[in-house]
Amino acid sequence: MLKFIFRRALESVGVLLCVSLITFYLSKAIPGGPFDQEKKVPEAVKKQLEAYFGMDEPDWKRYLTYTFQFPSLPSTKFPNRRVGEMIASKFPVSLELGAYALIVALALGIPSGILASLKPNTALDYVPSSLSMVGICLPTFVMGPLLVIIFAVQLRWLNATGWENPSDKILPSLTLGFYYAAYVARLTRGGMLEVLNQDFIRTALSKGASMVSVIFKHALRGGLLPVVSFLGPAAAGLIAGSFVVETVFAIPGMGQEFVKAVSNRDITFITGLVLFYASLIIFFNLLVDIAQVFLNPKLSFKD
Amino acid sequence: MTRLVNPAKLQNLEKGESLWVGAWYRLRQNRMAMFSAAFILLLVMLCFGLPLFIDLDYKGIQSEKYFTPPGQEYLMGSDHLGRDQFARILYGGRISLLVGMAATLVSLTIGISYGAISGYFGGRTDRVMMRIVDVLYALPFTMFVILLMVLFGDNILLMFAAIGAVEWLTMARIVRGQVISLKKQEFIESCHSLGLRAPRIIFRHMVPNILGPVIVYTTLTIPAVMILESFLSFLGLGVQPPMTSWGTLIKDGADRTAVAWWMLVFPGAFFALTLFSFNFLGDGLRDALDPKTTRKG
Amino acid sequence: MDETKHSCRWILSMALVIIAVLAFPGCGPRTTAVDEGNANQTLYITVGAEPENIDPHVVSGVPEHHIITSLIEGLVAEDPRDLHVVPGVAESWEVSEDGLVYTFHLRDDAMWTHGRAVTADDFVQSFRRILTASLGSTYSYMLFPMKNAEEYLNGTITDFSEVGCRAIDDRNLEITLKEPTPYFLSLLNHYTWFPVPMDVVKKHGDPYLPGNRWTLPGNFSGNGPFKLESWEQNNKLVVVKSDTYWDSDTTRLNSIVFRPMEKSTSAEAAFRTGQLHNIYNLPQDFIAIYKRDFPEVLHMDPHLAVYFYRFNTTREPLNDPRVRKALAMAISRQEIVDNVAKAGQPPALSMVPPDCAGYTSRARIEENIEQARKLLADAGYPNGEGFPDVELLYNTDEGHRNIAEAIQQIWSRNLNINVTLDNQEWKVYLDSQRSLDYGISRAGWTGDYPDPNTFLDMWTSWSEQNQTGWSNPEYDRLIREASNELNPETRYEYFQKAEEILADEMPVMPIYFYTRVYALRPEVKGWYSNHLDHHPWKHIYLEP
Repeated sequence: MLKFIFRRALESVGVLLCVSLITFYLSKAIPGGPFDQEKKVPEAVKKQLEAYFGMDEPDWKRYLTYTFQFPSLPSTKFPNRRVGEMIASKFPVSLELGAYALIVALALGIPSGILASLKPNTALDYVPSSLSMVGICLPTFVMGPLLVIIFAVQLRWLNATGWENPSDKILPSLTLGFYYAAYVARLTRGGMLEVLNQDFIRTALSKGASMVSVIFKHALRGGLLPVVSFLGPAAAGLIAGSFVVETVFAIPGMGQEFVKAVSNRDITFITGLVLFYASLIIFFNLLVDIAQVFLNPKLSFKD
Repeated sequence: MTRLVNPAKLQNLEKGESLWVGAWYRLRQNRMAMFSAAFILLLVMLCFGLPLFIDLDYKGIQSEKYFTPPGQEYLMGSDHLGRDQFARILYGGRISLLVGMAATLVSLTIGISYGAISGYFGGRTDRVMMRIVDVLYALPFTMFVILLMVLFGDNILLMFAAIGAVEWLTMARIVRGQVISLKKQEFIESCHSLGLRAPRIIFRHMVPNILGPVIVYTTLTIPAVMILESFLSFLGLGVQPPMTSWGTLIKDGADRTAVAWWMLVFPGAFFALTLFSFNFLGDGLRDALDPKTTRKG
Repeated sequence: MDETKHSCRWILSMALVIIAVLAFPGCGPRTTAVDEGNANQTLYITVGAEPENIDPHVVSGVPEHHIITSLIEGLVAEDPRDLHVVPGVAESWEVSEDGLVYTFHLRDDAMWTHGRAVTADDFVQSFRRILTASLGSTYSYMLFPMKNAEEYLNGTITDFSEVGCRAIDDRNLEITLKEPTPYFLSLLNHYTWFPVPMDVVKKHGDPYLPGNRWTLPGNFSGNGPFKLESWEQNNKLVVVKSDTYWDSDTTRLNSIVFRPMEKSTSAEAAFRTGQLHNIYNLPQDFIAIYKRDFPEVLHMDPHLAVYFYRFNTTREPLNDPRVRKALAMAISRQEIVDNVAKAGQPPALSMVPPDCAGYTSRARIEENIEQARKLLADAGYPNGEGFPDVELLYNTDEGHRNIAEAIQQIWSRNLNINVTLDNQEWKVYLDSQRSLDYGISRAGWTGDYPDPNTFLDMWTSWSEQNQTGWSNPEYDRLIREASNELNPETRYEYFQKAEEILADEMPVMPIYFYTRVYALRPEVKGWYSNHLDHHPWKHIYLEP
């Protein structure tokens, strides 16, 4: 397994290089620069700003600077901040929110998915299935304001915005969690049905094993496989933050920065964010690949 | 039971065409799935057909009649510019259904082939293919969309491409995970010993066995794509006003719940019902296509 | 089957426990941030977006203005009611007869928060800093009325002593202007003219580069009524009362918490639930509700800004002034304002807002559909026939989309012509507009200072803000004459003539003048409506 991880780490370097290179050329290709604004900036001023951020250097030099020194570079939009510290101050917030949302998603999604798979196409299936789909029917930009209206404006139990008190974290986590819970529930149901119909489960049941023990000892392993595959990128996305949830609840996380940094053409910050996010993706997909081996005894790390 | 299946069909069952014939039979038995299919069909006819017969104006502005509640004049109320919400939902449905299905189909096709090939061959092929997926995941989607728009102008086809291009990644990973776990099962091993070729094993024997999670994820992709579409129009790609879509209508309505609940409730209801229908139809299809249920029957 | 039931029950009880745990913290009556703030004079306020920086020489936005004015004070200050100029760091000043030389006498109790007195040299060094090209200040042109300021920035002059500012001694500062500028004193309230403590700035990096870190909490020093306490990006920026400020007896607030709120509907929810004392921009659909239910918190202030459409005069068919006029005449601005924009904006029939520093435009657009149809027919498009496809460009925003959709329908109804809408992401839109890659384009312009010139000099052939491809030598001449004219009446007469040309050629089509619609809790006192949206913080207090 160590060898597997080591090889993966090597490959990841290649992935990060590809990502940074493509991002660099994307940012060169899209119209508009960081210093364009409604009232046109005089050409001479713009030149000075571009020089300060190294934008007048040859491409290869710019690329190397942006990619390898991004933590210590100033953001073009917020020049008194450094990219590294901007990520460091926002990531913990997104991580916390993402973790709560993930807990909500799993705690709601997996049980209701299992429940639905036990007696397919009966009320026991339709009720949890329909409930779990509410998370998708009400996209986060509807769910968020709706929860705010109920719990903040009407009931006055919770704050409408912010990320200060522990109670502030409930609504955003639920909003984000409900959405993913729907995916988890549906994929669990599908995966479980797949497994529950297999011979070894029926054999186990016919031998008198209890349903609960069959589910937890045998079925869940294979049944959760699609959920696990889904969770790799989903978890990375969750922890990296959500643009909608963060703007609706005014949370100082990293998710809104992905969109805003691009609108601002904040090239130094974009590079930092993309590389950071790529590392998250690589890390979580690695975790998933390891988990897949553990979930399927027939597999080994050589595959 | 025996009376329903005629001997000719039984013969087919052995030959391996069984999957589709049997599936169709089983699907028809699933009332919820058939009901959902009928609803989707009805919706498609409404969105694409109804405006041909009755006069529905989705863009005409009666600006002084903004926020008219549902009633005699406007079946589902009027929006913030005094346009007929019902007409807008139907026209918006065209875009959303089209985008939802086409983009999902694109992502389905790419995702299944990519994931199955990567998982089946394993080794270096798999590693390279999955690292490419990692790269694509990490790229800034917003930038990609802005660039597409600048290069090609706004164009519905392009929108499908852009959406399909991001949505297949997770599908590929799910399919790959399933294929890898399937690879070690006895019946695939026996395919190898029979000397079957890779494409045949993958698409004939493996894909049907992983359709369960794939269908589930597909039915989840449809609503995700419909919502993503409204984000694209925010970046300037996709449908241009006064044409609209359900995603945009819901977004417009979400901020106006305090003033005009009908602007959220009606498009939201259409969206939700469609979504439920696709999911129940998907569940039915999954059950019907499950090769293991065949054996049970 | 028993087992199935058992597991169901288990799962259900788990779910109930989770719900109970999640629901628990929110019980009982709560004191809100606003309640607490009212009790200890803390103002919770949002100014829209996150500030880019609080360095007055680097920033260019409006949220930054609100925050910086709490931290730094310029030579003069503003009266909270009508914004007339009152003493700031300078306790008095004189103007020479020709209106070119201003001498400011600085008070001796003006202090930086790091304990040093504010001197005349601080101002000279600050002007020098913002006029140094390497700093890349995007707003440095605000200092151009000062003699040789532009030349120093461009590098045609390298010796700063030739620029029109001089510290006579620690307490006396002399500023020499290029030409008489009637609005010069009110210009001094713009943050570009504010001083910075160069000794502090130098400590935290190169003072002439934008990446300097002196504005971070812990490093910062200001001379305003408040001092910087903390600044967490995208979360909050807190300032507390400064005791070293010369007029700290007037300051009544103990602290101000600035919170960025990008989404105005979220700000509305925060306001309604007592997390904020204000909503910076009330979402337009809430205006009617607030009018009906909470009129005491609703404010609709006139704003020195105009919403208009640019015509690309280099492109068929918009290169024909008759077509441009027809388009401008065929819409009913009142209808758009009443039913679409909905914020009580005054319809704009000229570029300059009415009564702008005592100036009201004479030349006005006549809204007349019949006349518009006739003009269109004269231009070769009777009843809109053969009218080429024109694109109406706007940047992605719901408000702009609504206006564009309405105008598209009105033109189609009244002139039988079809324009297609094209929304673009902000910077792409700026790029298209600048490279004249559009047919019609929406735009807005906020006056830099209260004078008609700020709305009119942008249409000269040399202005970088023109972006319509239109130019007119006579117009250029009139604007140039006006800038050299000392007599206000003659000067305004030049503007009137220039506006007649504008109305006749119509390179731009004004639609409405902005209003600022916001909500403010009634306990916030010392806040007065004005068209610049300036509210000097030291006069504001809370009285529940």
